[in-house]
Amino acid sequence: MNLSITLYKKLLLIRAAEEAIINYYHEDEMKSPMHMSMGEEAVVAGVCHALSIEDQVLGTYRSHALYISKTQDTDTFFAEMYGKSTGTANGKSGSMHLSDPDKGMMVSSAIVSSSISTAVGVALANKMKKNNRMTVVFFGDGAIDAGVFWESLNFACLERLPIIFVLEDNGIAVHTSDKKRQGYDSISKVVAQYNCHNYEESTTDVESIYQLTQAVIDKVRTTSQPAFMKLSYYRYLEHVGINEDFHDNYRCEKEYEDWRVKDPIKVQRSRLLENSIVKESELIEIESNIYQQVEQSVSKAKQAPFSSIQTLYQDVFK
Amino acid sequence: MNDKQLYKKMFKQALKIRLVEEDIIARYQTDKIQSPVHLSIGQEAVAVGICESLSDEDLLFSTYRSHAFYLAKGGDLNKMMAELYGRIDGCCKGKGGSMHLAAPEVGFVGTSAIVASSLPNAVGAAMAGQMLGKKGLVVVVFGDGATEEGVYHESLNYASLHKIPVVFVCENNEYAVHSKIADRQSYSILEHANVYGIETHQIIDGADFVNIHHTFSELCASVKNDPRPVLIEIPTCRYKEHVGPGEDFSGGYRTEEELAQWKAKDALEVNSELVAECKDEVLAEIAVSVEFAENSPFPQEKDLYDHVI
Amino acid sequence: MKTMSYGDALASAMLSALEDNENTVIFGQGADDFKGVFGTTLGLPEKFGKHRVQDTPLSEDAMTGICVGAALNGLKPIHIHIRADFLFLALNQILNMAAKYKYMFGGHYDVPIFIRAVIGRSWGQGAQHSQSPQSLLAHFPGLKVIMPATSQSILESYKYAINDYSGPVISLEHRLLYDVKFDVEESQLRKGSDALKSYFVRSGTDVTIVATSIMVLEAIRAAKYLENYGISCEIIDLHSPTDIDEELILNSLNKTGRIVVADTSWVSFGVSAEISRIICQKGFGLLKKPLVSLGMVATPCPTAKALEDLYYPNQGQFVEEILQLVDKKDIPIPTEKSMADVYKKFKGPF
Repeated sequence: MNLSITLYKKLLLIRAAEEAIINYYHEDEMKSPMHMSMGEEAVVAGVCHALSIEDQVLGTYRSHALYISKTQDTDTFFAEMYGKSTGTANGKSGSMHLSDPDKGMMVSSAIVSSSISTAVGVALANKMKKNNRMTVVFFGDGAIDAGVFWESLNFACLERLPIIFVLEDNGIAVHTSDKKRQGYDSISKVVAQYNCHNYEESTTDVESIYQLTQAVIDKVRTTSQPAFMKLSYYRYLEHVGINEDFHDNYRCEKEYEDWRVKDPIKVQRSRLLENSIVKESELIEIESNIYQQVEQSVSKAKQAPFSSIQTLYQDVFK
Repeated sequence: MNDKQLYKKMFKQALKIRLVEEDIIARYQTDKIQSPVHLSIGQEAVAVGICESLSDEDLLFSTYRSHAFYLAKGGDLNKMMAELYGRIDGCCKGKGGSMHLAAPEVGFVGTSAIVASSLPNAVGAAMAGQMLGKKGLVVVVFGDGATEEGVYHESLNYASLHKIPVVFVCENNEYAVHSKIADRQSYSILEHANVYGIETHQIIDGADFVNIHHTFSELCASVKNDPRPVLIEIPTCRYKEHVGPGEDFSGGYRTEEELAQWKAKDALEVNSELVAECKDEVLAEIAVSVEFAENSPFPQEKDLYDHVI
Repeated sequence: MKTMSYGDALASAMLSALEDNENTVIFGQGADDFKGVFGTTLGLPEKFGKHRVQDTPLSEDAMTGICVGAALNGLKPIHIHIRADFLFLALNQILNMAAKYKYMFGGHYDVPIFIRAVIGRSWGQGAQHSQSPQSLLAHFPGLKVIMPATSQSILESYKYAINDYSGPVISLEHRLLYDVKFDVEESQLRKGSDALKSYFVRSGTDVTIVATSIMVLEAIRAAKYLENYGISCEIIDLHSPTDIDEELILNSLNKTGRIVVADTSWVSFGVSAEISRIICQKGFGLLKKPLVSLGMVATPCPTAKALEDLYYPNQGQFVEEILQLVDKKDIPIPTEKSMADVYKKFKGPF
């Protein structure tokens, strides 16, 4: 299938899933704090599309986009949101700890920065096993305040590991802007001190991100050196929750509006129509199918059983 | 004080440290010092050079390898020896040992055995000093290994973000225990700190204590005048094993030849005349401290429970 | 007598901390933002200056170390972790430094830092946002740990810990209590180190309940329910796992012979393990029935509510355990499945 269409579908699947969460949240059946992915779709879908199913990703508590991008599975996603036995972790993980190792979605952690060193370990194992797998770890700009990011980057560079560090930079940690937290001018300049490849991009064009990632993966493989990608995006909603919070005045709504104009889904949709890749009617059908997929997943999730007390005790130890 | 007098003063201070360390080595077999010792032999010039620039109101944070800094900062030798002997008259009443010396009366802050752990403490102390209008500077000495710890980055970032007047001193002996720096660091310490917005300086000859003192004094004056964080790297060489009284060339991770070039610059190795001139007085001081330590009582059970909370 | 919510008591304690002492500084992620750590630091930056209420980078290790260093040099830092789980990143500085600096330097230093950490038990918090580390921390000599259960507890113990006590204190605040209102009798606030000790909540004759934090309220609810059936429960708020009033507990046990220990964390190696030790060593023979422990199930916390409700002890279990201790069988057990639903009608977001 045409790349542009594929990427559009991937973007829309994330957006549709997030919209469904927003629509159904008031029913109080998804009892999990939601760190929403709206705004970051191009970054995550673009990077993930360049990966194969064997390649592995790790994320944070804001991993809806990552999970859906890597697995394309909204059934298990919603089942987990609804806390059902058919969820990714039988309801034990909720929104913040999505995973599906068979599809390369390793772990996501609610402790800022904590999956970064894990990712380095995953990459180390891959290198030792010589299995040619790429590891990509996603984290926010808050995570680079943490010392463990630097410890991990240093190690990955020393050991020449097959890993890509993806900084999803939205300029904010909860409500605190990076200017209030960072003593240096430019994260890229600091990372440049390490023996890794260093990239910076601020675009909502999923195809640019996809192409860049392909080039980065190739570079990592051919030079046996890790890479760092700083990809900017704008977090549309509040830190946690389904609402906007511009009335709280810690950031400027104008900035949001500027980013909204180049919304990733909108950008890709325009590309499809402007380049006559699809007709409007075909597009509507594609979109309808995606929304239907999501609705069906929600429906399945609602009907699925809760986990039993036996599940509570499973998987503590081997 | 003219240059010659200054040199002699600092030489004597360095010699005192060297001879104290050698005395510890000589005595170690008696098992009276029941504390792991991380000796400063080879690194005296850094301590002497830096501390000559500081006064009692300046706070010095350092590491578990701090005999040199303790003494150079003006810590009492008797109390240090008694501390190593685990006696009640030790600077920490026998509870700290070699790795946890303290001499708050001369601004030598108690040391920690966890690599890099005093970095944020120093940043916090400097911040407090600034908020409370204190005159003293805050200096923190750490080894090259400490720059690998995440908390080093967190500390640099914070100091830079809030323009905290703290003087970071990296005592680079190129080893973390037995591991070489090139195997541990994918960055260069000075360039890396620079990018955090921290002004960096470097001393080329880590054996020239007079030059270290002059450079460091200028730097300290500058920080007092224009409060901001700065970092200075001083190369040095650890002659003995990481911990303990011996040498470990048999371990194969470095050779005696490597040390030879350092020893060739080391005033204590080269200036045997001045050693001979100053030695006796220093040895007498050491003898007094050993006697003090030997005569100091052991702590009792009731002392065990003091100062927990 | 006035009524004050737990959250308001915290806000009041923070205000007093800055007002009564020149050298207190509050640090915490989001401490100066519009949410003000669940409302407890709102208005303080404006009143006392931004330098006294500071936001921090995400660097728990360094920030704790910075607080330690600042304390060594004359400040009295208050460090807030909006989730107790984040405190684990700071354990090196808390356990290796703050807890030990007074002792290992033979008394040269005091480290007057006050750490507030919020136990995030509320709703779908999952394994990493729900932990309650009192046993871990209380295990280390040199630290004081408190678990205020009421507004009164907060006012009296925070005042003492911040104004008068010169060592490290960690307070574990329970998220579900923030909106709960309590009666406060200001003239009866305990003073000095008494403010840290365990105390009587309710007198009774049939069963002793020793509880921490929100479990004190759970105990009160159980006691009120059972009162209707002629069962009388004596409740002790342990308050500080590091300042257990052993005599209080043993005297009570002497009276009742039956004890339930209800804690906010896991049972093994926890608060009830310590109470058991005390009883075995100093109250041997006082027990008429085996000790009962109530705590979280020995698993990490699951996110799904259906599982979460099985994970935390509920009112039904509490009452049932007490009934077994007093050998009463015919009394109906409450069917309430989740204490969270009671304390907070929670719809999210958190």
